[in-house]
Amino acid sequence: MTGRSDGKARGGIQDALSARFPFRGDIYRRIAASMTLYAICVILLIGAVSYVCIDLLIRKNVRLSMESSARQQAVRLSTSLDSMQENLSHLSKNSLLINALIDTSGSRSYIDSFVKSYRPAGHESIRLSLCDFQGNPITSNLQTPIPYKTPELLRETVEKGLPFSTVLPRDGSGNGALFLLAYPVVWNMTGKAEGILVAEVPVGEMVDAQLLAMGSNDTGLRMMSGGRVLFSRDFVDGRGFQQFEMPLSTAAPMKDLGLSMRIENHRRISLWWMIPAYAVSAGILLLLSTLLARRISSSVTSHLRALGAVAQQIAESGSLDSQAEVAGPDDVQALASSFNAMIDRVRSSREDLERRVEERTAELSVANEELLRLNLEKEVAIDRLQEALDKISTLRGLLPICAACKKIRDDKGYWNQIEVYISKHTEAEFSHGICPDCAKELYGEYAENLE
Amino acid sequence: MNRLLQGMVGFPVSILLLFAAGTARSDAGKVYVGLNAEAGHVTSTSDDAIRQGVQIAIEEINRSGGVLGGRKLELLVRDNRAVPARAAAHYAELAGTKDLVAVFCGKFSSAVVESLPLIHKRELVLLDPWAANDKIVENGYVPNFAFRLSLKDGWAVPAMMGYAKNRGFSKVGLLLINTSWGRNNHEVVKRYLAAKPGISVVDTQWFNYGDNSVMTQYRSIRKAGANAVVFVGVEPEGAVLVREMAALPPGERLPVVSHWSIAGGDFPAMTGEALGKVDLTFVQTFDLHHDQGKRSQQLLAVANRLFDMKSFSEVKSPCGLAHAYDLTRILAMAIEKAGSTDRRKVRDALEHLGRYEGLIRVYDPPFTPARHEALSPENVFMARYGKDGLIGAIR
Repeated sequence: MTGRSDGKARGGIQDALSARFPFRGDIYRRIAASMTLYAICVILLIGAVSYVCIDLLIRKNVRLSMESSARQQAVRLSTSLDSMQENLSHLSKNSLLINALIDTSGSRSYIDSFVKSYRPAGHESIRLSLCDFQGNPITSNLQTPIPYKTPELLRETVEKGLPFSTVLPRDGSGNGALFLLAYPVVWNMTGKAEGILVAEVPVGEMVDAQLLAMGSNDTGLRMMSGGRVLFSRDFVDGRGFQQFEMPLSTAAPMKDLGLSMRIENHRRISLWWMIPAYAVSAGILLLLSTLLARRISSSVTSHLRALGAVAQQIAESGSLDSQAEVAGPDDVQALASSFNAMIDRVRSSREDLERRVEERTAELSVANEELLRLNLEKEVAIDRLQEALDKISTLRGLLPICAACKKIRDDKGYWNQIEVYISKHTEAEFSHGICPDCAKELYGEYAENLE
Repeated sequence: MNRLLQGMVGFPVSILLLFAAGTARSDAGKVYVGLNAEAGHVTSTSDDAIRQGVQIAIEEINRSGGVLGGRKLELLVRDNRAVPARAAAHYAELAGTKDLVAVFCGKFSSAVVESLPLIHKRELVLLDPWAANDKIVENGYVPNFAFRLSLKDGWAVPAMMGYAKNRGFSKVGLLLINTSWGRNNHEVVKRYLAAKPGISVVDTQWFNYGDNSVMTQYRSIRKAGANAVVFVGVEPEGAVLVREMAALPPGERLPVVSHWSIAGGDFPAMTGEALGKVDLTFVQTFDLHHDQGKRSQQLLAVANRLFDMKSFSEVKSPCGLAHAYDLTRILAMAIEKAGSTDRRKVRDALEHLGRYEGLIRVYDPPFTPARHEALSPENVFMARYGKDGLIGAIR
């Protein structure tokens, strides 16, 4: 009765667990399923973490690469600008230019061809003019020479003898902004600036030459002066594009322009290729994990199953002679050892119990025989007593009697005349008379007479 | 009483009015002469000599009563640093100055040639005491406002080439400044050789203002087989040539026959000991350093008073002083003849002056309508620096 109720309770718990735990069945499947599920979780986690890490790593590497590239471009551009400045500075010290300043009217024969033949590499479109101290052109490689009479330019170059730079807005030909560089032409005989060498360099041409040299195809570039955009090439300024701003480290006078270069990376890094690759890898990994789970589960549960088989055998045969094999993982070995120890203990207990039962049985047998003998003697005695009783009818015990009428209540609840009751339960018989008291009470003075 | 009061008040007032009127007439009565020269040029001394010559003459003229009935002459100096653009700006500014009758130029021909259109447009009388480019006077303008009392290339070249020829330099190399002045000399040389053969130019080399070396050109000339170098340039590059030649072995030093503008600076100081190692001769027009004439002594007295000058040996570019002095005196004569500060009238008067006995020569007359050159080829001679650093004529 108790074992059946325990079995029902255990079945109910299992059902409840099974309802919550999707993997029903034996422990082997549960372990395998759990390991597979675990593997899936691990694979998904690794995949997600790998994606994020690789994405971050690639972005970081791309950023570093672009930053390095931008820095190189900035250095190249700065170097190119400095080289141009150095060339112009050097040119402004050329004695032919100084000569032309002193020989204004006679210089046509040589200074025009000299200036027009000046085509430094990378700055082929340079517009070069030699002006007097008032900014009036003496010669120029422009078709129509123009004066440079900006007060700031004249103040810096002629009065202070310093080079000057500024940025000119787009000209009429739509060539974009121009760098204007002006260098004083100092005659050593006066030690003062007697003229100005003015150069206009298209910003776009210079930057294009640099981009061409760098071979940058998937980048946008913007040249800035302070907050002012001088030149843009393929620069969309869109979100999602990495941008790098690099200040251009140039020497004076361009240093005052605060030039900087902003590079925009148009190269998008896609990790979609990772998904099929990862799916294949994950599948293989899942398959291997499943196989491994099954193998590990099998390895673990085979010993449990063997242990279960021994337990089953013991349950069916009741024999405690079987022993579980101590093998497998440590836990299972410990379990098997404990199981064997338990069997040994049960076996020992049972043998002790049997021995004690036998002893008790033997004692009981002796006692029983004595009891039977005594019982027999008792029966004999009873018989003898019965016989005696049968001859003696006596009343014993407490009799309920009415205090008034003296009737006695029998076992059935009926009130009987005392003489009836006693006659019924004893062998006595009554003869009726009247006692003097009763006679006196009943007959008063008559009773006295009767006497 | 009233007379007394009138006398007491009227006399001082009359004095004050006369003083005020005299002062006003004195300020308004100045007659200005400009000097547009290369004062800022660090090695040039010709502008100093020109200025001193003009100032000495003005001092004499003003001390003798001035011009136009007592009006004082005053010099306005402008520094063009030898830069034509600056010179043009100064000519424009001076042309707008009231009562300015004429402007002296400096040594650099290019600073004058560039401004000739402006000078003639503004009718500015140009007095040239040094610049030798023929085109300054032979400018084609009518009327011609340019007058020169100085050397001209057309006389310098024959002097140099003749001297070279006399010394037996049959083959010369030309070393010329790359300016209109140098090219003008080149043309004159070619014309001279065409007219007077007997000497040949084996090489022609050019240099620029500011060149730090002319050795490449010199070696080219020497390699061409020249016996001498004919140099046309100013003192900085001339000094470079002399210093570089002096560094060569004596056998590799060619005689140098130079135009006169090397004397436009303190050439001995610029060349030092190198000057003594090079056979250098150059053109001059007046030997002020050794002139002991009465007129020279009179000038020196004035110069002593004005500049504390003890001797003309202190003048590094003596021709400039002499030319400027004579030209200023001639200008004063023209102003008197014109009777006005009107520049056109002064220009006309310059062409019609009478005889003038000047420091350098007797000008009879200084200029004519057909001749705006006060000197003549006869005034040109060769000179060299002596050991004392003074310029001496080669006799």
